[in-house]
Amino acid sequence: MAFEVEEIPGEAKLFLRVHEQHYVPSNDPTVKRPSSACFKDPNLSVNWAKYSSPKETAKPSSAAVVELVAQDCRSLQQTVIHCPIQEGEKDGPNQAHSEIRGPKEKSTRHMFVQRSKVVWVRNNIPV
Amino acid sequence: MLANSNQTQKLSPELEARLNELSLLKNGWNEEDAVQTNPDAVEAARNALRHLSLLRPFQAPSIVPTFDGFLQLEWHNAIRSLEFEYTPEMWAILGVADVNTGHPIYNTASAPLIAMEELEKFYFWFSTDELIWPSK
Repeated sequence: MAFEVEEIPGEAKLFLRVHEQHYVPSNDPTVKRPSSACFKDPNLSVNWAKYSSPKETAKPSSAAVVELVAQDCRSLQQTVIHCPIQEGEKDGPNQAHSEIRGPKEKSTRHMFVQRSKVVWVRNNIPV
Repeated sequence: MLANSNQTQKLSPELEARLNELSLLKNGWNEEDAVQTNPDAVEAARNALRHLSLLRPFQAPSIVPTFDGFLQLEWHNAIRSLEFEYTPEMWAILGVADVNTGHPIYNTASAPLIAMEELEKFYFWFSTDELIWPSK
């Protein structure tokens, strides 16, 4: 049975994987943070927490997973759309798949970093 | 301030190794649709870093790939962030002041790819207490 497209509420949590190339030192050398570069895609793929978890969102090359809140994304002039991937489609099935759509200028990408929260980190990630 | 004016300055082994690592990324490096690193982006980053590394003090940046095959240099300290993003036409620059106050101030600019003196001004803004965002 095909996944239905649902309305994502404002308080919904969204998980974004952070590739190891995009997990960089912060001002505190013992703490890493996502680079703004991981928010550049105008159609940014995320997983809706209703159907996924941070661990399920990670891929082998992920250093971390960050959490975003849908209404925070919308406040940055983005649309947040549930677009589940059906069985048989590329990278499917994934009922959680959603997209944060909209132009992401450099300042907007930095605002995404500010609004994101690291919720999963791969074990033994070098600092 | 420039430590010397030797334009044949070599990069640190760490920065050179990082650029070499980035130059080897292939299409799909992120397990999705990311594009392999553009050699022109690597060379532009190398040239910029050769110049900036003559400055004192010099803090090595993080160098990250973008999904469309380009590179971004980024620096972060307790109050400011600075990013130089390579595009085929120019460096796209973002400076963020008061990053941890809840009311950050965003400044943007662009610079020609060969305008090392302009990059130097932005780096100076980041690395000092300079209040005024550089303007042309």
